[in-house]
Amino acid sequence: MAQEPVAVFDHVTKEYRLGQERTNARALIPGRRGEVGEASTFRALDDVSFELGPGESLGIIGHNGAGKSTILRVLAGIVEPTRGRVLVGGRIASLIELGVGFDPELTGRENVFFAGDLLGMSKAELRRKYDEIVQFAGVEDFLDMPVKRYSTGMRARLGFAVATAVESDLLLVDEVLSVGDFDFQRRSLERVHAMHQAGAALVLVSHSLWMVNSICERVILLDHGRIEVDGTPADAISKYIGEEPRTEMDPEVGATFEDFRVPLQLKGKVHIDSIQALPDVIRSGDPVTIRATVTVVDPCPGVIVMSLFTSERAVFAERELGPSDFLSTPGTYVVEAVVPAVPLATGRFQFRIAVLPEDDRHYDQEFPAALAVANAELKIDGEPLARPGLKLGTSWSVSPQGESGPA
Amino acid sequence: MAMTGTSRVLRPALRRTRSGRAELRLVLSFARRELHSRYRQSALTVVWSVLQPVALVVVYGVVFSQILNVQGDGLPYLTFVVAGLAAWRYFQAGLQQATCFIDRSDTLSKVYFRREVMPLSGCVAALVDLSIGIVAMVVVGLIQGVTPTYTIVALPVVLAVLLLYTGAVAVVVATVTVFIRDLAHALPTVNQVLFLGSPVMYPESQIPEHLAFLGTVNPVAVVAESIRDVALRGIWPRWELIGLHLAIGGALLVAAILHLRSIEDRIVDVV
Repeated sequence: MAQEPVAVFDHVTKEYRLGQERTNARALIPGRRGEVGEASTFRALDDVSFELGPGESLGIIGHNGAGKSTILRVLAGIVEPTRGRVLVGGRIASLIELGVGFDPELTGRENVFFAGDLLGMSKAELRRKYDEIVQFAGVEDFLDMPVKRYSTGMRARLGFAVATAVESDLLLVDEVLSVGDFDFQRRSLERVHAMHQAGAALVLVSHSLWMVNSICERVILLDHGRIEVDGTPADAISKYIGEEPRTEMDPEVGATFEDFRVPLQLKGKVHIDSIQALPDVIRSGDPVTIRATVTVVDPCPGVIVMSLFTSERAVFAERELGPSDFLSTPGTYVVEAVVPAVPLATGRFQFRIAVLPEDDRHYDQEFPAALAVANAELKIDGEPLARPGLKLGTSWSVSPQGESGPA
Repeated sequence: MAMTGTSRVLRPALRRTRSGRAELRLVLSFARRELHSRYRQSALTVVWSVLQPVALVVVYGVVFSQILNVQGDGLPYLTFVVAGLAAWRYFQAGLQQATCFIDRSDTLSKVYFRREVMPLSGCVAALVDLSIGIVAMVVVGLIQGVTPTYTIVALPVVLAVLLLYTGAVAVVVATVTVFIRDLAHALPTVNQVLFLGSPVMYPESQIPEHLAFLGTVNPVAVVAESIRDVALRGIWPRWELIGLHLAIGGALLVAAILHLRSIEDRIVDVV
């Protein structure tokens, strides 16, 4: 490697003691390492070696318990390896868990300052970043409210905003991007992306293969603490999917993984300003119009799609493709989708309109890569039914056997 | 955003970069947080930190002075007890740091900072109670007709002994409890023994001759008696004794912190 790396894993092994935690007075004696080796142990990392160059983005994938998070914790200096050497350079920001050290009794403001101290930010740095943190988290009006009354999303946003305010050369991200609502996921992904663009190296642990594939230039596949693949996203992901039949990615026939690779372009180029089902209460079989107001700020190659699902997220219709031409001309548009006869029985349903990057049909149901998403609720009124479902419009007939068909 | 180009020298992931000043700020930050959340929820807030010891003083006062007929060695008994309890309760707060790592394992396993920050911040938070105790001693003294004497200027030196020992004890019990959980169960008993073995409720002068060394060896005894001497009796402390204890307490604190640092990486695997 031409440049000095920002992180080096040199034959790193980490073992944990299995079974009941016993009194271990010997651990109080300084200077002995690798002590756990004698009992029955679990090897979280097994002779792992790799180097991470400055500005590189590395994804780590693998089954639960494969050692992904352990790598991050070792890099963050929280966990000491049993054997081997770990070197890091520069400053590290870790998003291993959001809202670390938040005290539920304290207000948002107090927690920001406490978390800043905890993460090692200087007073001046924290003061400089304070407004930005608060603004990103979107909690301006709740700063004097105890954090225990915050919603889960607010807490996550505040935690994320503080953690990413640390200026860093190496950013450690552990699955935290999958918390929160769609808007938060998009913005936090954007932020991580921006930090990476600005030159920070990135280590991303995720089960979301599309995310790893989109962000990372290099992916390590871990299996039971060992490096199975260290290579391109395509190599690592196909190996992973090959051995794991249940995958989050659509194994589209004939498509290579390079086809899935879509450069991130998550800037707010398109907004869905409002969305409504008209009327919002109908009887089964009635027509309904989904009306959305869409503002195109910058022209973007994209497609508009509509999905329909129940409040329990059972999908009835997925990604019905809409018109896309208008997305190339800035302006505000009213987009209407008319469903002539809604074939649904009683219940609550949601229509979702999303603007997806072009050729982005393969991504998760929740559309984390979408440019804009909005939901409209629809209520079908009528005969009570145990569960929301389809109305098939069936006609029935009964006749004695032998006489074929109704007369 | 990134600081590329700045001194990015490779270092072991476990070698710490945080400055001593940042760690000190974190100690204060933890302490402030503890105090805030301790009193945020209760309507009587700080009143509780006064009421609790007052109730204690009343009960002990009745039992010891009225039933056991203990005297305050030249001081009104209540004033005598309040002075002793101020010192004792601070030391007790140090013992209570035993479970601080276990209680906050969640924070420990998610972010790195010097681990001594936790027990020491507990001791810093307890300074509030110590101050209240000292003020209470003066107030009760005035009510009972005892005016603070000019020798009270030596009080900070006496309290320094208490702070050093308490800090050392806090770090040691917190460290040991992580690996030997039984200590958490043994401590209430230790607490009782130390309390009754120290001249908090009774004057040092009532300790029989053959046990008198306890009053010199036991730092709580030295501090409790010295507080009464300098604040209320107008007697300078025994400087050679105070000096010796300052040295021992300081050495213990440094040793406790160094020991904790040498094994701190094992804590997160166990808590």
